Amino acid sequence: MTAPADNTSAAPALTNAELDASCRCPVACLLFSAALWLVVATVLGLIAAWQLQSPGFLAGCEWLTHGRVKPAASNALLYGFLLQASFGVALWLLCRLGRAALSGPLTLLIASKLWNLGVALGVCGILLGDNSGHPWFEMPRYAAPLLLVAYLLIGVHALLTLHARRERGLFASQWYLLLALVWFPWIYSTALWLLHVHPVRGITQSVVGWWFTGNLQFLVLVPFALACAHYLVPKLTERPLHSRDLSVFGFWTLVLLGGWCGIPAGAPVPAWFITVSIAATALTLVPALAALGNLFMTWKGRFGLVRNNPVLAFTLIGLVFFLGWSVRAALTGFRGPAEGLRFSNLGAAQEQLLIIGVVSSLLFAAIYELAPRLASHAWPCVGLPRVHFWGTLAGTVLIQLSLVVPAMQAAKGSAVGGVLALPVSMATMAGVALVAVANLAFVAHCFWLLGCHLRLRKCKEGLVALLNAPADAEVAS
Amino acid sequence: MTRGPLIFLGVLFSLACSWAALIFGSQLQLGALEPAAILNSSELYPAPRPGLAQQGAEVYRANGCFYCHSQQVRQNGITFGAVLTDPGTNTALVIDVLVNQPQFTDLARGHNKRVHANDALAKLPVVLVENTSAALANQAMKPFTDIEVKTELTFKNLGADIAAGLGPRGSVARDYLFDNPPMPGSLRLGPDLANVGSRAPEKFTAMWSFTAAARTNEVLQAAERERFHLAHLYNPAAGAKGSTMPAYPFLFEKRQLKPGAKPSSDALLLGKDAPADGLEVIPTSQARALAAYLMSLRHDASLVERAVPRPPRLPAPSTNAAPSAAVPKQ
Repeated sequence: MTAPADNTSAAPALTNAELDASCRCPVACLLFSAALWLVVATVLGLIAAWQLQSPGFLAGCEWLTHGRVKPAASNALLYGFLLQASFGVALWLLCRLGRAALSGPLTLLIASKLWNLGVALGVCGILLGDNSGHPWFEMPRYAAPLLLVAYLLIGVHALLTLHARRERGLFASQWYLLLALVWFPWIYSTALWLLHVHPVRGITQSVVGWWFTGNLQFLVLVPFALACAHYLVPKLTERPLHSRDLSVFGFWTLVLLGGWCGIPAGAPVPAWFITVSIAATALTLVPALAALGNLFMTWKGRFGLVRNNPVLAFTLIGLVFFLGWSVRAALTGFRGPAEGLRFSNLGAAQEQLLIIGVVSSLLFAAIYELAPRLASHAWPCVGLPRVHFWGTLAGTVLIQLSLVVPAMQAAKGSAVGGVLALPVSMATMAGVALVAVANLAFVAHCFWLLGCHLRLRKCKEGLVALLNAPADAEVAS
Repeated sequence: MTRGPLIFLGVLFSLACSWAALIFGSQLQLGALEPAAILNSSELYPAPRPGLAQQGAEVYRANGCFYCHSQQVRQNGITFGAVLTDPGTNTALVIDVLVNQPQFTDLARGHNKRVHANDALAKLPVVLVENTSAALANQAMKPFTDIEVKTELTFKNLGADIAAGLGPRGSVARDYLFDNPPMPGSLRLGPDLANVGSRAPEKFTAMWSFTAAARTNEVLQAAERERFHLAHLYNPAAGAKGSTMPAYPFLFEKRQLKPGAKPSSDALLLGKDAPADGLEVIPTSQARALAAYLMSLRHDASLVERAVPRPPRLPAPSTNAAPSAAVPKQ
């Protein structure tokens, strides 16, 4: 029981095709909406990045001023793409790993529409000036509750699917999914209640915001990413997970420590908040190294498989970036380094690395794995994944270098400033553009695959009609 | 680890601990915070913002100013010192004690310690110790208090932000009491704004200065501050070359002047940036509110949790500079 295996137990086992058919509609709906939000976020992100080095760009337009485009882009990316794609991938993984059909596909379809409605309202609201003022929780008060309702529908059906599993044992992937699925509604409803419905006073609001952000990063996004990795690595290298004990250790240490991260050093709150947070952030290096060590030991000796395989290629860069992100989070959290780095671009670099480098990469890997199965059609193009991969890799590295190196230099000297010299901000812009090209290539490829799937279905339907036979269950759904 | 409920309960327990400590704990510790008296004053701090400034906070939030401007001065310590403020009349006795101070005992051979000490007394206050702990500062004051000479404990707030002139002390939770939402920020693409309401004109990134008339007149100063903020919002690059701050033309209205009419008194004085003849730039109520908000930003009241150093109280003849500067006015 150390690796996802396809052997089924007892009774009327479902075939992979039947499992895919059961979750095709809701998962595809979530993933395609996520892809569309990725396009929106990419366009808004390009505008925001361009404005940083040419401040006059679109400045005359009230709803496209930098301070509105930037949060709109990050919310479209976070709530529109990252979380939505995570939910889609999670549902598929739960079906596959538990060998159970998806519970409540129709409700999930409605929930996904509701989620998208919420994100759309939120992003438009931010552009219209209804930003809540809390980074990572900028959704205005009329949009944020919709997301919670939509999530509850998704979360309940995800847990029901998990409960209905035929494989009684649980894979590491499923632990991480369970963790993220349980954690998200709690932190989100806490933030919703204490920031929107019943706002607490003064800086306590910021404490709630920091807590929400830290938890969202360490115990929702990272677990979703690790769930993908713990499924993909054993599956594609065709080996069981190296050590079950190590994965148990990594999981529980993350659960214990992750919730205490997020309060930045130097924040105007009593010192114990900061000390606890620094200690927890430094210690999260332990679960990160445990999980990474385990995955790489599983992978050892078969790294050659990465060639020409976008799934493993994205898994690999996702895990390497995760290592970089964890180490940097642990090292720069301390009061000494934070004094010079707290208000520099390092924070932006960390967010970008987590969102684009780690979580998106691992989600892309999972989508490259599952989409052809959902579509019953192979990816139609070999070149586009390459563009996607190299664009993501080069763009992320370029953005990281152009943000972090000046931040480190500035940290030695002054306390003020994250303003970049023009050549440096051009490099950041080039990185953002590379990532944008990569993302657009990915989205285009997804829609191409959809086209192939629809054509295939039409052919099959034609064939079925021709033979006048009863419709195949998989095709009909 | 094959049982879902077990994992579920473990996760829930850990989450509950983190929630209880950081959310419930912060609410217990900070939720009941109230305005407190400013040190050496009966004024309460902070006071709720006046209505216009409160509206300005909404403009600040809506336009995401907090993504590039922080509102937080960080402080990472405090050091103490002691000064002698009034030697009284028995100078000879004071000099007897003073020559035992390290700065005199360390003098090279050949220097007359008493002459040096006497010179030092001519220029009050005499620094006895600096950059030390409170205990050592008190110890340095002891021989002088024993002979009933007036000394004062002094302190310095430490930190890169304070050294850079962002404020006289670190920001504390109380500073944000009436901010809804508080916007401490996480990136400084522009300067920190925690004390922009009291910042001296020459300390702005876009340097400017008060007119001669305003230097002694607080009402004029406020008017000039407002004018600066409005002009800066209309076109930041005019004052600060190479500024990456966007302009906010949508907070202003370009109006056609009636032929022969004088420009409105509200119109911005833009110098060479002025629009073509016959047009004038009038700030909207949003721009005025935002300027009022910026002028209301100051984390500089002396509080029990973080005090602001004040100049030592010197004896009567030189009172002109003494008492008023001690506590900044709200």
